[in-house]
Amino acid sequence: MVVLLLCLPLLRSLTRTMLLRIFDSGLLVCQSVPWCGDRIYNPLEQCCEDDTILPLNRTRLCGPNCIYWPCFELCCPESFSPQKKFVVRLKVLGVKSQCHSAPISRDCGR
Amino acid sequence: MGTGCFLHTALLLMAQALPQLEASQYCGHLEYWNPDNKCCSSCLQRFGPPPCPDHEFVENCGLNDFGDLLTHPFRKCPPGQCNPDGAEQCSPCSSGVAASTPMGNRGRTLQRCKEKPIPPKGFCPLPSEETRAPISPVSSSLSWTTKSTSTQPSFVLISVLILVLVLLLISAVILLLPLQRHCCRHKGKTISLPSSGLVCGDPNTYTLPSLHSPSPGALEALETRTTEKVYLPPLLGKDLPGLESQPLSRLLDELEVLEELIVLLDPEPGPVGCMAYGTTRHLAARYGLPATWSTFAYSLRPSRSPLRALIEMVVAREPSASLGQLGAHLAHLGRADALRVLSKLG
Repeated sequence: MVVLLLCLPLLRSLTRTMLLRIFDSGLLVCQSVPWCGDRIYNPLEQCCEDDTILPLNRTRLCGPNCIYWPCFELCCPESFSPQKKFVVRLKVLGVKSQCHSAPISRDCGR
Repeated sequence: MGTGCFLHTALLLMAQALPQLEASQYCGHLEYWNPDNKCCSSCLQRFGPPPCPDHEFVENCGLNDFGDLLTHPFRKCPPGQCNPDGAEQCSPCSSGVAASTPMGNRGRTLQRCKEKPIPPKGFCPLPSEETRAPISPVSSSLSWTTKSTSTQPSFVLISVLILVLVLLLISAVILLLPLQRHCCRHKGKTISLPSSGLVCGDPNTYTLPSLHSPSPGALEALETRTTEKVYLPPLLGKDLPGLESQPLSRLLDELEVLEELIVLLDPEPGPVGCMAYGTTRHLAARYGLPATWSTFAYSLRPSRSPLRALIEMVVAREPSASLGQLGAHLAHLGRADALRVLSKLG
């Protein structure tokens, strides 16, 4: 009985919330969300790279001298060229970007 | 002896000055640490097998525990070792038995990331009679660049494709012109064409269809599925049709025009000190790029122009994009000054 009395306010607020959600159609709008592996993420704040959710402003090193943005750029090491350099390329939004076809953003040198 | 010792010391000091790739504290030799997911991922699942024969993965495929790619993921086999089959590691040439994987987890608990399919072997750019790697596109987003000799045939192909596209565009314009004239004979009606937005009726009026579906987050600068009329100076109204048949990629070759456009469009705030209209940021929105991309592009300044990055992005994504579309967007943004510069290409 005591437990029931204590739970009443919680039950009341839950019921109110449920009713709001049922009758307020503005809260029932559904949108498809992007998935990264087995998790969802917010594309306005995050991106999915290698099944990893990253913040959009994350930067990493591409080679010893260059910083790149993994959400927007590709780090392309040219392992088989004589110079063995690193090149940062732009990710083309909407397509699966690849190093051999993406436009160059900048040359990082060796 | 003394010189050799000096050189050796100098090399050591120089090596220490550069960021060093230390072995991962968490993962084995053929894995790398994912600092965000806190798990070890397989080099093979990220990069695919070595594309060229007699190459193998370096320690942790060149990644440190912060996710930085410090060295190239592949290296040539040491003397006396071979890898003709694209295994992860080389093995003694005579035995043909794969080398055992060096001890990995350094005594720590190894948490493995979720398994992913292994990408197919990429294209090997090295010219070698032993190279029998299949020429197939790599599905991973981190595939390797090809040598310039292998890009020459693809460059020719791209040139031919662009030529064909230009010819198709010209044909489309020629075919659509009579249709437009026919429609214009109906009184007071203008017709918006999806690809050209050609003038109909008053030559100083430019009817703009929605040329692009906006992506989420770009709606603040777009009016979708509606048409607007923007008054243009007569000079610009006449020059715009000349740009219709020209690919947007031409702008990347016309450096003087591009530089002028960069000076006009990149700076923020926009004209008259107002952020409401007319910068590269708004142009990117009209091309359907999200605001987050614009934020990234502007962060590259001053070393890299956001407008140049935008043009390259659009050209890569849509090779058929034309200068006419760019002109339409500039007109809608109210940037007659930029249109005047662009008309030099007409």
